[in-house]
Amino acid sequence: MPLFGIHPRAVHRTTPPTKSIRKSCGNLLLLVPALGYLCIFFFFPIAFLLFQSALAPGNYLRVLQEPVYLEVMYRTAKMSLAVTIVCLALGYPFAYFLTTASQRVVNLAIGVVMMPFWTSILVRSYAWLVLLQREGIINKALLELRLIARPLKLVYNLNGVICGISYIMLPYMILVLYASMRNVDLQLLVVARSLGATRLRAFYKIFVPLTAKGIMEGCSLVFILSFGYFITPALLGGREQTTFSMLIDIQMNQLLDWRFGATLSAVLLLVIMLLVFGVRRIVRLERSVQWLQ
Amino acid sequence: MNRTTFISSWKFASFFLLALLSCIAGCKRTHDEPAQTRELTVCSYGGSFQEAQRKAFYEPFEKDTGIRVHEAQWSGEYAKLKAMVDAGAPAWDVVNGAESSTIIRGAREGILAPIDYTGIDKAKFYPGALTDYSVAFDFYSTVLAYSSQTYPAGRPHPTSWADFWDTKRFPGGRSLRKDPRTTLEFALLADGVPMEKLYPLDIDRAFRSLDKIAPAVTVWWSSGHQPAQLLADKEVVLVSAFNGRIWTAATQDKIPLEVDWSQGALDTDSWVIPKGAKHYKEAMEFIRYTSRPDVQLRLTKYINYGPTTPEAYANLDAATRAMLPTSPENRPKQFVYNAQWWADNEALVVERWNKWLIER
Repeated sequence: MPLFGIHPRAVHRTTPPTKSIRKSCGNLLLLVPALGYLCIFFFFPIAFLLFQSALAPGNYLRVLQEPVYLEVMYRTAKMSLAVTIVCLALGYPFAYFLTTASQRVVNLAIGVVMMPFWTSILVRSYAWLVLLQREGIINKALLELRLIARPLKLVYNLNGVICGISYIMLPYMILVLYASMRNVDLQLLVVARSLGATRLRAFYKIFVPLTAKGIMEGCSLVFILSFGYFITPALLGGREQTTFSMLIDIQMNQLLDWRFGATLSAVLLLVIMLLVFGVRRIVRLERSVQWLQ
Repeated sequence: MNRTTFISSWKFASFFLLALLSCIAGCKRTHDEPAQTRELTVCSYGGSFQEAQRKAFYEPFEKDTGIRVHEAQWSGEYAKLKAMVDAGAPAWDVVNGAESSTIIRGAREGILAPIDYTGIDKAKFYPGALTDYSVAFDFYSTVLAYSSQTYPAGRPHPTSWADFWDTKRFPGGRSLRKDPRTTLEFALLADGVPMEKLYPLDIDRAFRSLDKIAPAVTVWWSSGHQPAQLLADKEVVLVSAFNGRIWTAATQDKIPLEVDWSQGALDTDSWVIPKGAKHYKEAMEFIRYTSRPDVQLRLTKYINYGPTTPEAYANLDAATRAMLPTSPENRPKQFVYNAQWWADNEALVVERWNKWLIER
């Protein structure tokens, strides 16, 4: 599987035809700092976590037997899926626009997309409150226009959480999609049209399949990141928007039950891996079946 | 790619390695440096609270004892504290811990050092302020709060959790803490359980009572600053809140908010010492210092959390006393949160609470 967003063809183009051992050795050395970093700060803690959870295997049974854990897992997955769909729906047209725009417009647009990264997560959440709360701008405007009789409940529920997370995730989706779309040869669309396809048909028969990989990568990234979200659902969600990472936090920080917290984390890791790889598998199968037909 | 790029990538990698090594060496050097002066590191919650502690405790302590106080900050992540202690090198010598049930659990887990009570007169403290592993320096309260724009002076306002639960007499949205601690107590009080008979909590009855109020609770807050903001934005009319947050919003941000002390839940902010702390002696000196009534009194100048020694109130004016949860006038209206009960039952209650939250 290639790295997120980098089209295999892009890698291919820069690879010279002859390979020398010395050269690949030199390249490998470039990996050392990052790999070392990951070893110390990622693989070791993960191993420690799995070890902690293995100390009390009965905890795995507790996760399965006590329905609240799987229920919260299911809800978190649903929330992440909703965020992923919103991001794809907003991000795909935007990324497509970027491929057709001039470099100057692209730079500007990407700057705008990256804006949320410059603001603190608390400020970002409160910005949503200003818009969405009972006496917020949207409700006030709608009341003023007499479109509604009483304020709508737009925040402290699933809607608030989806709004709050989606726009933080949107840049990831757009950048990944844009990277994959840039490698599509737009001439293919011209050819398809010259052969009688309508604009729309050329788009979804040629362009969309060629960016399928990017869609998959973008969706996986957004889905995985949303799954671990914590602060935004706590501030913008309601009674039911308890995410799985909140359950882990309570065990780790409040109850100091690291073993059970580790078990929950391990289960979360497993479920995300199964979901993401499972979906990729299915999509790949489907595509090869299509190919055969 | 040719020989020159091969060499430059070599250089690149060795540069990174060198940088990494020099970082490690640098850390080592600062660690080995001998302590010139006596010092200790105090960790607290940051913000206006830590600022108040700095003026009331840290700066006068430095002046009076010559011991340098370094400051650190956390948000009550006990997992971090446990990790530090387990690793054998806690960076903090004194930690301001709230959530007293977690302190009890931390003591059980063996991550706290026992307090040396020589030089501290236990009889001078309010009951519930001291444990073998913690010394409380203030009481804060989780109380009922409202805006005086909704309930102006002279007109009836809710004065009990039963009133909070009474959506006919006091219509409008409510906000409660998304945490069973103190919320279950309020549910039982609303259902008619007297304050003296709260513990052990009747969990089933508490959840039945919560079922009744749940439809009116439009926001479940999870961060201490939310209740004041929810009242200010007129998102809800009644909240449960930490008294200090309401006071800050009322005095500093000039938002017309009021608290009613009736049936508030008193809990403590305590000093604890991580096991293996490098400056245990200085830490104890600091704790003894902040246990003196005249020192405790100073904190009230900067924030309205109540001293843990009744003696501290003797010299306070009536206006200040009225704002403090443990003043002789306000204290009897409230109950002391039973940290021991929670430490023993929390794991099960939390599971049940989470289940209750996601029920339709």
